[in-house]
Amino acid sequence: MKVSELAKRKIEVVSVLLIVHVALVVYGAAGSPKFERMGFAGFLWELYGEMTAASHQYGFFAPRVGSPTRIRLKVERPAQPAENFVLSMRSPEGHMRLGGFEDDLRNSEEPHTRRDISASLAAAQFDFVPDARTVTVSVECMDIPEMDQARQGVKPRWIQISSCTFRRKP
Amino acid sequence: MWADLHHLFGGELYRPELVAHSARLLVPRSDWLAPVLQALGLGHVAPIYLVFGGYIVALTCLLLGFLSRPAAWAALLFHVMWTASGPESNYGVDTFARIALFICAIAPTGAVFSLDARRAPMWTSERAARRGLFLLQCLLAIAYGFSGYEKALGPDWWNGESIYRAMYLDSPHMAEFLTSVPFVAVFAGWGTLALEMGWPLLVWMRPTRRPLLVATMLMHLGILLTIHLVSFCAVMILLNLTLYLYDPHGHHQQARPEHPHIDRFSEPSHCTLHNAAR
Repeated sequence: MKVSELAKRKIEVVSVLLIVHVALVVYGAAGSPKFERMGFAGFLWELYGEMTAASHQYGFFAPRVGSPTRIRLKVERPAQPAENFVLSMRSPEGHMRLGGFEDDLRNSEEPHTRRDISASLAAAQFDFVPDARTVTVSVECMDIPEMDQARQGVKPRWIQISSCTFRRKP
Repeated sequence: MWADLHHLFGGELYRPELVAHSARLLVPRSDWLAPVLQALGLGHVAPIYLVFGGYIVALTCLLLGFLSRPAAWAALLFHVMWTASGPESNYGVDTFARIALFICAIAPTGAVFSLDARRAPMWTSERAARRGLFLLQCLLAIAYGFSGYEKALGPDWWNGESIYRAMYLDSPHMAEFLTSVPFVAVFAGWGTLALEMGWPLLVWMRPTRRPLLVATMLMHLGILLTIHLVSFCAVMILLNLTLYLYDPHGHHQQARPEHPHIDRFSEPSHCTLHNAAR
């Protein structure tokens, strides 16, 4: 077989693979159920989707724009006043990425996800503050009035949507 | 983001291993390097800075066209590693960056406009280059189409509430202004829906392509100016410009010497790449 024919055959094979990739991207974008019941094959799909972004969805600000959210931490140490602060980043890009984190906390549909993320925040605080006894992670969300309500004078306000307290193991 | 790198991706803000996700078990992360680096006496934040630094170097090589394909693969790997180290803080820009890096890794990147091409002539199939470009165009169309469709599922983009709420993310005074001119929010919402849902069809039609792309870039510019999604908007504007609006026919066509064993092509690759969009 001539070299040029080999090259053409190679391109044909690659074309098929690219079509499969596009199909996987459409499947992932449609929010189709994951291949959880397909065992190892499903696990490979999850991995491939993560490596190539084929499993990512594109519901940016959909179906509605979420409310501004902030994470408040309260760290209690023995014989010292409790430290109460709102998480923030130094850079605008860091602030943007913290917002994605806050969105996960606000929108989590699975019951354990919000608790797990709160636990991971608390664990980092326990590492950072060696003598911390308890860490309380509170998620606050801005209750934005609709445009009609805003015209009537209703103002936005911060409301707490969850609060978890974690205690350091003795 | 350098100042916040160790917070978001180095385990100082939160401990990602406590947030379960099955696929992350095998997705490369920066903390995989931790045992080796700690044995060398480096701190616990060294892995994320090493990986992110490698990412910047790989991107620079890719930009200059130096060892383009290896640089693309390296950039993809490093991007996966540092974003997987703090997945909860990832957002749309990471998705599109990964898509673009994946295409750069598998397509014949660096055949023209590169240091590699200057050092030695690179031979590549015209069809392979077209397919790489076409794939990226398809992926962008899928992204816009699904983005518009999912927005249309709820009422907020139809009645302007989403535009108004979006202003609260970074410009509360603009949100208050919109309450006095709600038709502006409604018009912007309808315009966004029409643009995104129509994108996958209109971009392939020559008469509508340029107006659509100009409107799309204006939309991203508006997002950048109002809610300051700088990185995301820059990536999207760059993708729209390079995939569709770049006109190769204004460039000098170089004559290529014929090679008996490689597919011949009569035009330089950067000219034939544009043909994929016609």
